[in-house]
Amino acid sequence: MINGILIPGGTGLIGTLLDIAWETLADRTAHVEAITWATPRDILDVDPEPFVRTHVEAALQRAEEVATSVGATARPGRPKARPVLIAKSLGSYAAALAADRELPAIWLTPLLTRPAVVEAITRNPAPQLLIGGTADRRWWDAAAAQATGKRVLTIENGTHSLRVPGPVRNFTEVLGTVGTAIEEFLDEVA
Amino acid sequence: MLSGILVPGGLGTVQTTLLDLAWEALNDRQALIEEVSWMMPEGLQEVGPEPFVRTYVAAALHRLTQRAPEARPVLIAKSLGTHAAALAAERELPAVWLTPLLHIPAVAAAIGRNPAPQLLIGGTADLSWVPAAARSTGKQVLTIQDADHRLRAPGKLRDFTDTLGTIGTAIEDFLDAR
Repeated sequence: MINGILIPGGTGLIGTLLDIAWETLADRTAHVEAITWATPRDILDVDPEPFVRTHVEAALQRAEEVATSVGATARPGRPKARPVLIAKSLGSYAAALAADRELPAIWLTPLLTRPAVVEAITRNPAPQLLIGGTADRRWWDAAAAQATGKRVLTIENGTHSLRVPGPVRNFTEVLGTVGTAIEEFLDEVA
Repeated sequence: MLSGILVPGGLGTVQTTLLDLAWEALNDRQALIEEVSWMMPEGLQEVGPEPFVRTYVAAALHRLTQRAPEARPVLIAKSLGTHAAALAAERELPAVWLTPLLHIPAVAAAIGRNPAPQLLIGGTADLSWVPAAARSTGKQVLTIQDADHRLRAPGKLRDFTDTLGTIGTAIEDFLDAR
């Protein structure tokens, strides 16, 4: 069983990319903790890591309680549910917590121009998938992504919302590519 | 100039996949966009949501006409937001109805009496989608086979994103015909 932890970006909401991730988790009858938060103004001018960590720690705690109670009644001694973090943008500050606990993770448009995020992804021995667009110049750094040694999915000309130029159909194609990569990742780690 | 009002479903936010695609389509066309968000009061279904939805959409219309007095926006509404059909009919506004609540006769009737162009999008596995009611509105209808109230049909995620492509293209075509 998977414990999927969905971590939002600066909007604090489960937007399209996390919605796609939610669908893939639901297809696998995973338990899902979808975090929402009210982002403090100017959070990027201070260190956002403790804010993100607190939300994710609380969600992991909730997920663990559910998994334990389900496991205890259904099948004693069954393996514990394995958490997988799926985070968008600002939520990629959860990389430090993921590294501390060696949790697998999918980083959607992570903040790779923040060295602390790159360092945390790199030192985490668990499987991780980084997804970003080459038009996301503020946050995506192709060289830094490669240097983490983790799996990378690059969306050519994708923005910070992974939107690509052209009609909406081009965007939904990208959503298909992203969703399929998430499915494959989940099927490997779970 | 093209303008649009995005109206959420029961979740109260337009930051969801279907309305996000609609936002992208509007934004690609340099449309003026107004977004509605709300907190749905408990018990709303029992007292009837139409006045609640109407108030939010009327306020969004007002904001839009402050910005562009001549604007005749396209409403793009999901589920609970399709209670805006009554207001749309009165003002004769074009609209895209995503998973409209066609099991509620007032919603279906309002869509039917609105002379403006409208596009209805729904899935055959959605309990609020009534194919006969959709047809009898006489408006444009896009039916997604086996899709539920999120317009997801069984299958892999790629199947869902193909559906999203079909929906996005239909919205684009609808906007381009305005």
